[in-house]
Amino acid sequence: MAILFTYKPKILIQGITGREASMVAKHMIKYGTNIMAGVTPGKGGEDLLGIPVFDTIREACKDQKADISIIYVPPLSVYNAALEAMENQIPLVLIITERVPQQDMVKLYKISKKQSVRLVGPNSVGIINPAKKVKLGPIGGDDPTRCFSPGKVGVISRSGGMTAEVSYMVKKAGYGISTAVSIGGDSLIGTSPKDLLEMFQEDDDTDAVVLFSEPGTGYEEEAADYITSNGFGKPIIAFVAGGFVENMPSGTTFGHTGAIIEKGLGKPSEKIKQLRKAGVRVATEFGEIIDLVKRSFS
Amino acid sequence: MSLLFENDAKEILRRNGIPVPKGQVVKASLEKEAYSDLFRFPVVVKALIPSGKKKKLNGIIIAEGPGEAERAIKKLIGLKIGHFIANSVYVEEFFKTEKEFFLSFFVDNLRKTLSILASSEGGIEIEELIQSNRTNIVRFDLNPLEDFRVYEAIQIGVALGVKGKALRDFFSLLMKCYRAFIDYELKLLEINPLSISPEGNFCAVGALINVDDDALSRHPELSGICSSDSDRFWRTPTELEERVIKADQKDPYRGTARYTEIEGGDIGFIGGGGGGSLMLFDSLRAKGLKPANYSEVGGNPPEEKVYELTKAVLSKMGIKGFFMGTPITNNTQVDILAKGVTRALKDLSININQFPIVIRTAGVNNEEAKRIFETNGISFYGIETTLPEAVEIMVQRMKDMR
Repeated sequence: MAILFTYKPKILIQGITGREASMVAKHMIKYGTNIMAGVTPGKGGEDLLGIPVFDTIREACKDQKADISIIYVPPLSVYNAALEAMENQIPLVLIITERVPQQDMVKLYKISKKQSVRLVGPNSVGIINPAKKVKLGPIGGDDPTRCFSPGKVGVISRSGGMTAEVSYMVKKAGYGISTAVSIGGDSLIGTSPKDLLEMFQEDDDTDAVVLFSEPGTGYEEEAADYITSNGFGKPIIAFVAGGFVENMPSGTTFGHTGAIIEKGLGKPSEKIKQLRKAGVRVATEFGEIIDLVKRSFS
Repeated sequence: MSLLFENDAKEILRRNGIPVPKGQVVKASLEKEAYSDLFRFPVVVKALIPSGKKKKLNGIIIAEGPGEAERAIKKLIGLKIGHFIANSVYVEEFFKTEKEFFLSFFVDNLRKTLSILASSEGGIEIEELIQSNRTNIVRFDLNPLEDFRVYEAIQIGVALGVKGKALRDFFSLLMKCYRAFIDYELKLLEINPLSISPEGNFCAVGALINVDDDALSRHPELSGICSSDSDRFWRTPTELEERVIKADQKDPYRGTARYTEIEGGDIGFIGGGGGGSLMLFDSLRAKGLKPANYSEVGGNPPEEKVYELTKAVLSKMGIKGFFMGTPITNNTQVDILAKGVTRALKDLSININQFPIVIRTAGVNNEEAKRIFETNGISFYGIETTLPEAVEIMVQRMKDMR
């Protein structure tokens, strides 16, 4: 089954004609992922690698509904593109673009909740399901098989680049991936590690989860709370990068209100402490992930 | 994220009709006459640093006359306060206070809301007051899809115990803060203390504003107040940092190159992406190596960006080796990384026989990258080598040089 999509999904790419997006579309097709249509206003009627391009989602979905839209438009156009996708009842909207203004994201999140749309990103490199040969977005590049083998480990990564490297560690340990999700490096994202843990917990195809974390936000603390209060029943392995940031004047220093609201959340050392308390196996060095994955299955 | 200096934050408040004390930025000293023209004493001399908690950190001095004010200015300029050095001070008129409030509009990342936090007590102990529930707090989530209503602002005032004329002034002030928060797309607009005088007038005595760098291009009215590169806002960028910022901004939507100098160190360092760079930097240090900088490259940058970044990294004084590691890339064409890096090494005439270089990269076009590095005599490590293994190789190479 894996998570987020359970069958070969019908996929749209908004902004498909851009330089990056068209390269990624090529890589997706090469991997075996079908793209139903692309949407770029002003380019309707053209086609790209055999994929029809439309001006609007409405036209693209006239004959068949899309399951997923991948958003690859410039940062200030993301709000409009995601609204269009949600208005057209596309249940999963994945935002690859980075540098999306935060107040735009707050609005999109609110609307996504109203319409029961699953929003992933922004600043995500995508989602991959190796068993189904479905990759959404740049994840895995031109050859995902390098690092993503099919298997029973779920991956959640706050770092786009490290999604592949973590999955490669799983491969080195002799195992593979059920679904790997790059949740986006921003502080305000549509789907948090906790949301994905809930899904992985229910998923019969996932027997263990690896989480890659960074400083800032309260997502790990939230996940630790969730694991403690709900139990998880499968091994979770985590790595928290960026310990050195604690000793530097941080670029992500919050003002007073942040300190009040987040009560000192965000420090790698604190995240590690909370995760360990919840029973998560936290690797001290990145390479240790290999060993921890092996031990989870023995 | 850019935290504004207090004078700039107050300028934004003033433009939006929110009362603030009369003030003046001072870089060295003020002429004696200037005081009588500008101020009534006492005045408050505040160190200008992009941070809150100035009072707690002894960055604020009250002066009763020009002599005291001059002494305060001399004392504060150049002083290290927390992580920051104050290059100037903000002198403003003292506001006679009857009572203090706390008021904040902010983006709550974890709950994904725009929220208001207000308290009927303000001042420097606010965090402790709120956390210990010793003060009257109001928390309100704005509906991001609809306007904040006047009656909602009135309810907040009432909940804080504000009455009579003050209540009318309070809700009008709240509405103005709301407009500024939304219109400039701020991440934080905090007034602490929001003071009320014995005569019943409100004044934003302390102010913190955090702008969203990603929304800045929609706000030309903020240009000049904030720069969109604020990674290192705790100090002015060095010459090499300036060079990389310039190269990065030349082509702002094609990949990123970031470069931050670290004091001391002898290893030039480039990591791939945010997460990979953090992990590798930690890892190099844990193995006893001393990176001289922190750098990230990612998002499929053009060759020129990689070239400029590598040149900056290797140009810092005292560099004795170079380590570059990227996770398996998703969209970054690693052959382009290879071109940028090898061109920089050549242009700087680095003798690769006496200068340890370890490159580990994999991903899009990695065969071509391998060819480029190897034809230039540079040892290249691909996917067969894990990132931690590449770090170990660097450790060994540095040992061999000694």
